[in-house]
Amino acid sequence: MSYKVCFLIANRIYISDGMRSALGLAVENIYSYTYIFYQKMPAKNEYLDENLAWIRDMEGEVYAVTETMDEETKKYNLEEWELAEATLDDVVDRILECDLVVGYGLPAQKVQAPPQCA
Amino acid sequence: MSKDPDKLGIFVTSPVHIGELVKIVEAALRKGKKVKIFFTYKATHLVFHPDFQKLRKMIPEEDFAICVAAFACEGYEPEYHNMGLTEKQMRTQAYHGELIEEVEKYLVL
Amino acid sequence: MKILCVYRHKDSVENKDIQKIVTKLKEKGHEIIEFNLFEAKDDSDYDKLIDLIWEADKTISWW
Repeated sequence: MSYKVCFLIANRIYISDGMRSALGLAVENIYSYTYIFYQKMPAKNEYLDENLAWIRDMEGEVYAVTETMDEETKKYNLEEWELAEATLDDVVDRILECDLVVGYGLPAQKVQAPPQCA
Repeated sequence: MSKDPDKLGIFVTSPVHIGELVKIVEAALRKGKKVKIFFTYKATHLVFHPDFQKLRKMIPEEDFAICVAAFACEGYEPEYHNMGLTEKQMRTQAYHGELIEEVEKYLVL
Repeated sequence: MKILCVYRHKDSVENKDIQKIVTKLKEKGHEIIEFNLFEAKDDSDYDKLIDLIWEADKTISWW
């Protein structure tokens, strides 16, 4: 059987690696769906762009859970990265559909990332 | 690989839950279960935590691995910093796929 | 479906979006069991967690 797995990511540092991990399962013929909460995607880069394209080739998707995002974050994720949009209701449906749910990494930070993180 | 009804797969993504991980593994073994563990990304830093060695010795070689790409991305040299992990335990994300297919129950930390 | 929600951090229990998701799962008729991993101390807590994982159809471990 082909498994279905959804990744839920809330902490900015874990986005790239969560997507890499989701792709790792997709190439093993596991359907993988990633949901980004709260956070802005990293700056555009070729590696992550390719991963996203590859996830889509494998019939997976990466979603922005837009109702958890402020307007600027939402705009960036949808327009710059062209992520698919999802509601919390969509997340609930996907959780029920998937065999496994991966709460990836740490919770969202309460502190603003200092400039040193750049 | 067929499913093992008594095996718990643990996907470790958090670098801050090693204490809980040890307790979960001990509890699973007390209950006659087996575990298979894969550490990824920031959790690969746990290789240097003293409890990591405790776990490494409790779990069969084939059921305990880290993501070697993540380990290298975090700045470590797999050849020198492996802390006793064998080549078979330095794996790719495909190991996560194997784990999913092999275990009956699954937990993320 | 019996769904086990494991909360790794106290923040997750207080997270409004997680609460909304869990409420929606309940509204769809699923049984939700909750386990505060951040409060687990004794071996008996961890034994209970293993039992719950085996009883549940699905386990969601929140950040």
